[in-house]
Amino acid sequence: MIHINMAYRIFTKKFFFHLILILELALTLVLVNVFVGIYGNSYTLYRPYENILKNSGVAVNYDGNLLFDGKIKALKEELGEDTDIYYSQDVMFIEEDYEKYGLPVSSLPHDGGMVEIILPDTRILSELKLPLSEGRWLSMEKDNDGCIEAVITGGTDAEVGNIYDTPAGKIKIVGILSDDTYELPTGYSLSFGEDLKLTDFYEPFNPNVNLRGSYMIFNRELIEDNTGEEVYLVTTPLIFISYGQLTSSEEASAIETTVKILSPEEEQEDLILADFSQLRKNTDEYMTEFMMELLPIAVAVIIIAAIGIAGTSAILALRNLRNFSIFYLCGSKWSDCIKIMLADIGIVTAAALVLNTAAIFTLTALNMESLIGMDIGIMNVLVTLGTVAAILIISVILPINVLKSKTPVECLREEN
Amino acid sequence: MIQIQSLSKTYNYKKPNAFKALDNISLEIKDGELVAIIGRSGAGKSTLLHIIGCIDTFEEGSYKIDGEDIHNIGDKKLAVIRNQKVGIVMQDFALIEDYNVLENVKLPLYFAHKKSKGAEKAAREALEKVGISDLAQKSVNKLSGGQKQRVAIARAIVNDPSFILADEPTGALDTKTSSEIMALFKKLNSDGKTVIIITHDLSIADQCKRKIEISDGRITASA
Repeated sequence: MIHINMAYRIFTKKFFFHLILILELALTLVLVNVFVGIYGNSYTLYRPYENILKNSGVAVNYDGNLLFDGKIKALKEELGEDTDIYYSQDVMFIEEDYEKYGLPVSSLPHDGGMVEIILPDTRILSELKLPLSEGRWLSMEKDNDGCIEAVITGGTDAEVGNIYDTPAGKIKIVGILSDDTYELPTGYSLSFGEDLKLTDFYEPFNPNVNLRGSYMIFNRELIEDNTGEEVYLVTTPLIFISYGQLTSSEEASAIETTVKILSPEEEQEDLILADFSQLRKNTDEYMTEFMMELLPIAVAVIIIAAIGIAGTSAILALRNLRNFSIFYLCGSKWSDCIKIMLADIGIVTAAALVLNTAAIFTLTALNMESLIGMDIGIMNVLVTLGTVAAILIISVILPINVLKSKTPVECLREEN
Repeated sequence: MIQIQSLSKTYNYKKPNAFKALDNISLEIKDGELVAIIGRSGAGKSTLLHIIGCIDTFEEGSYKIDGEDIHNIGDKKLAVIRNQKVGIVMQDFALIEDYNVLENVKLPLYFAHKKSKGAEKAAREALEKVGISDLAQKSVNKLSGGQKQRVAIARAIVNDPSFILADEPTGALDTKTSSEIMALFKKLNSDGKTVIIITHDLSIADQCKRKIEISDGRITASA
C-alpha cells in the first residue's frame, strides 16, 4: 500500500510528465483498438456463417432458379434428420406476399417504389451485423412496446424511431444501414470456383445507385409469432447444406446427388457444389491476408509508442533518482523504490486504460464504430490487455536499469 | 552505542581503479556523546558517516550499532535501522522539493507505516522542536537555507532515533544560522541523543565534546 501511496504522490507532484505518458499510452490503445475493430468488422461478414461452415457440407448456388420454402422442406425430408439446410434469405418482393403476411405495402416505408423485406434464416440473422449510418442494430426480440425491430437501407422515408402499424404487428425502425452496405448472400452473379470465399457472397449495395431499390430486415419469427402463420416465401438460390454426422463418403455423394435433383434437369450436370472445407480454407486465407495488411501498421504504432513510453519513463526515473535516494535515507529499501516506480507506471497504465475505455464507449455511444467500420468485441479487450502488458514490460526495463545502475549514495552525492 | 572495529571501505572494490576510502578504522561512540569528525576534503569523513548511517556498505571489519552487527544483514533490517535508529542530516538538506515542509518531515513515518493521524502529530511535534511549526504547509523551495536545515533536522528526529548524523550541516549556511543550527544539535544532545557531526570547520568541531580526526581514510587523532 505504501508503494501505491508514494507513487500517487510522485504522480500528482509531476502531473504534467505523467499526463504525457497517459495520453501517449491511451492514444496507442485507442489506435490498436481501431485496428482490431477494423479487423473485427471484416470478420463480421464471416461470423453469421462461421458455425455453419464448421460442419461438413456444401454451399449450393441454384443460380437463376428461385426456390420455394416448400421445396427446401422437401429436400430436408429427403436428406434426413442429420442434415440441416440454411438459406441466406427469403424475400418479400411481390405485393401478394405482403398482403399474405399482413404487411400491406401502403403501411410500410417507401422509397418511391416498394421496399423489399428481407427475412434471413433466423440462425444467420442472429449473428449478422451490417454497417449503420444511424441508430443501432435490431434485436431478435420484440421491444418493451411489443414492436418488431427492423433496420432499413437509406433512401426511404423511414427514420429511426418510426413505427409502422400493420395487421401483422408494429414494426419499428431502429437503424438505418449505411449507404455503402451489402446485399446479403444471394448467389446471383456468383461463379463458384476453387478460390470462392465467404465474403464473395456479399455484394456491395448502395440504395442510391442500386437498381434493386431499398430493403428492410427483421426477424421473421416475430411475424410468425404475431400471425400464428409460418412465413413461406421465395428463397434466394444460395443455400448451405450441413451434413451433420456422415458415416461415409458414399453417403456424401448420395446427398450431393439428391441436392442436384433440385436443379432443372438440363442444369444438373453443371451445378457446382462448394465444399465447406474449401470455403473455410479460402476465407481463413483471406482473413489472414487482411490481418497481415493491418498488422505491420499496428505493430509499428505499438513499437513507436513503446519507445516513447520507455523513454519518458526512463527520464521520469532519472528525475526521481534524487527523491528515491532520499526515500532510502529515510528508511525505504532500494527495491522499494523500484516498486514505487512500478506502482507509478501502474497508475499511468490504469489512467490510460480508463481513457481508452471511455474513448471506445464514446465511439460506440455516438455510433462512430459503424462509420469508422469497426466492430468492438472481446478481441478488443484481449488485444488491449496484451498491448498493455507488452508496453508495461518494455517501459519498465529502462527505468529499472537506471535504478540498478546507481547506488543511493551515488544519487545523493551527485546532487551534493 | 556505535562500535567500529578494523573497518575498511574500498570504492570500485576488486576493480583496477579501486580506491581505499577508509583504512582499518576502529572507533567507539557511546550513547549521549556529541562528536565531531573532522578532516580535509576527501579524507573519508562522509564515507564513514554513510557507513554509520547504513546508507553505504563496507568490505572489511565490523560495525555494531547497539550491539547489532550490521555487516551482511539484510536490506530489510538495514532499512529499519535507517528508519528507527538513525536520523541523517545532509549538507544540501536532501529535501524533496516537490513536497511541503510537513510532507518532508512525515517521510520517515510513511516508511515506519505510521497511521496518518499519528504521523501528522509526530511531524508537527518535530517541527515545534526545531522552531518552525509555522512553516508546516510551506513549500520547501521557498525556504531559506537555515529553514531548510531545520526541516532536515525535524525529519531526522521525527522517528525519535538514538543517533543523529549530520554531514557538514552548516556547510551551506552563514555564521549566524550556523550557530543556531549548532545550538539545535547541542539541545538534542542534551535531550539524550547521540550526535555525530562531520565538519571541516574547527569552530563547529570545538563546540563538540569529542573530536575525531581523519586523514587519508585513517583516524589520526581522537580526543
